[in-house]
Amino acid sequence: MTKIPFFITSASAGFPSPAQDFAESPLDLNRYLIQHPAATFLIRVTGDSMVDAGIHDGDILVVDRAHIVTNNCVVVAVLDGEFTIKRYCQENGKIILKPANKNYQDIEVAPDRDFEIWGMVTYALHKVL
Amino acid sequence: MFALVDCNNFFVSCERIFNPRLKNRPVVVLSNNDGCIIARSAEAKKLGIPMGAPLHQYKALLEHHNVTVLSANFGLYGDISGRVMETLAHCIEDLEIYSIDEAFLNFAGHTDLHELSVSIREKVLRWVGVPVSVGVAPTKTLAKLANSIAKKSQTGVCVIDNLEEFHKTSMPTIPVQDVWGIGSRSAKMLRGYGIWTAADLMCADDRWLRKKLTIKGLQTAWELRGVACLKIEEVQESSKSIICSRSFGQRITSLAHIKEAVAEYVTRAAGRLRAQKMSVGSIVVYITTSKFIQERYAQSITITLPVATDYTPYLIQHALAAVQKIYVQGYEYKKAGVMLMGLTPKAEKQYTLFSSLPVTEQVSDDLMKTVDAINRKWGQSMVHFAATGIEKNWKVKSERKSPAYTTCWDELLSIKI
Repeated sequence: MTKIPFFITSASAGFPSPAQDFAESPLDLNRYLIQHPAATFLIRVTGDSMVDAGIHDGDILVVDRAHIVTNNCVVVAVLDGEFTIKRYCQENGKIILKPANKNYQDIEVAPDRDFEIWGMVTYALHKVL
Repeated sequence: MFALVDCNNFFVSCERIFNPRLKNRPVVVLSNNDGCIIARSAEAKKLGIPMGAPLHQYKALLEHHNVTVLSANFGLYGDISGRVMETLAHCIEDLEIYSIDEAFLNFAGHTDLHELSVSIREKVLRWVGVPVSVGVAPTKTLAKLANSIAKKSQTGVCVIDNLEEFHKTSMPTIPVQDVWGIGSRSAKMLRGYGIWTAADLMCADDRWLRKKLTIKGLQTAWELRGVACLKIEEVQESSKSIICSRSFGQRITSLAHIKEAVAEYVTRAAGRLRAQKMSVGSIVVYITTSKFIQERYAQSITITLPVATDYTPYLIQHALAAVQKIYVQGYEYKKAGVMLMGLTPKAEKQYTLFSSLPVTEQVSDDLMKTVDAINRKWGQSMVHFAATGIEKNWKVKSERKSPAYTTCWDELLSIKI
């Protein structure tokens, strides 16, 4: 979608407003949060296994499927047909999904399991109110 | 060189993005109103479930094989389609969106076409999660054929780079009705003249082709020979007609309810008409009973409007007068439809000396713009015409619809972690 700048200012015969020269579009959260719109999905989480990574129960996550997955980043993964969200770690040739809460245990992904990275979590939207 | 990118089992693939458990399992998607099967996963095709099959005839088979049956979620499919097209535009700027799940790309100026196709395929799969097939050839018609070969291949890519070889070995095996632009009626006629395959069509005499299939058929033959006659259309030619038809959620008998439904369909069709900046010259309205009952009745009527228009209330007024004429009491109606035909660009509109429009053009234009803007902002049917009814008894059935994952805050994919 193309956005067309919209200027609310009327022409007057007197001295032009000095603000006119600085007319700019308002801040757009979409542009701040979403690098690849075609590849970005919003997902709601329930549970507290990622609380130390800043992901709380009820938060909305911005998930970018185009982003390159790096070691230790938080991913949405599909393990044997089930969605999960964990830290993706490659250690000694093994894939380990690590929670960010000491009450939960690491998940080692054995090579025979059906595993797929769905997307990378780039932001967590947390309601403070 | 042209590429045709086609999404594999598109509707099913959209569902699988948000429901990975459907992977490698038979899945079918139903039409509006859960009537017919309109999309099948590869696994469902293997079970012998045909396209367009009525659900009630295949219930036993579906249950026996534990097939997942879903209602159509067109809002989701539309959103995913937009994402696929946007991703393709990232790869190749010169693109033509051909349908909800197909696009032509112009590969001119690129060298390693196989590698380019593979990278496009991988990108769409990774970014959006939809598997696609890519067919590449010197013309759009050949690219269509290449795509159907790609669909059956392991890699999902087929590049026709040796045209002579393709003409000699593949074309004689392709039935003429599988050629893009050859409809079933033309194919029947061609077979009557001994033209059975794409190779036969390619070798037919130019003058004969032109006489039998018009300039379009001649173009098809040239395109099969490898001469590009069709180019990438950046602005889609606006369609010649707009159709809005649907089955009712339950059978309805009263004229008042049918009128409400028809008014709603006219409203939707008119919205699309205005989006294309077109005016309409005539409307077809039809009503029909179920195909599966004894007492069948189906009737359609065409009204030619005194003046081309895009003004919804005026169209509703004419459509409702038409319904009144074809409605017969005593039947249980199952479906109604509206087709707008004779579309002309609004800018070229012809005026009659005695216009019968009830309001001045400026007023009607302003009103329609306001209605469209409100509905765009607040969702379909926020503002609607009273004729479309408030209760909507006839509203479509969609019992197994997946959530609006990408278009509704309350229906986002939820993951327990």
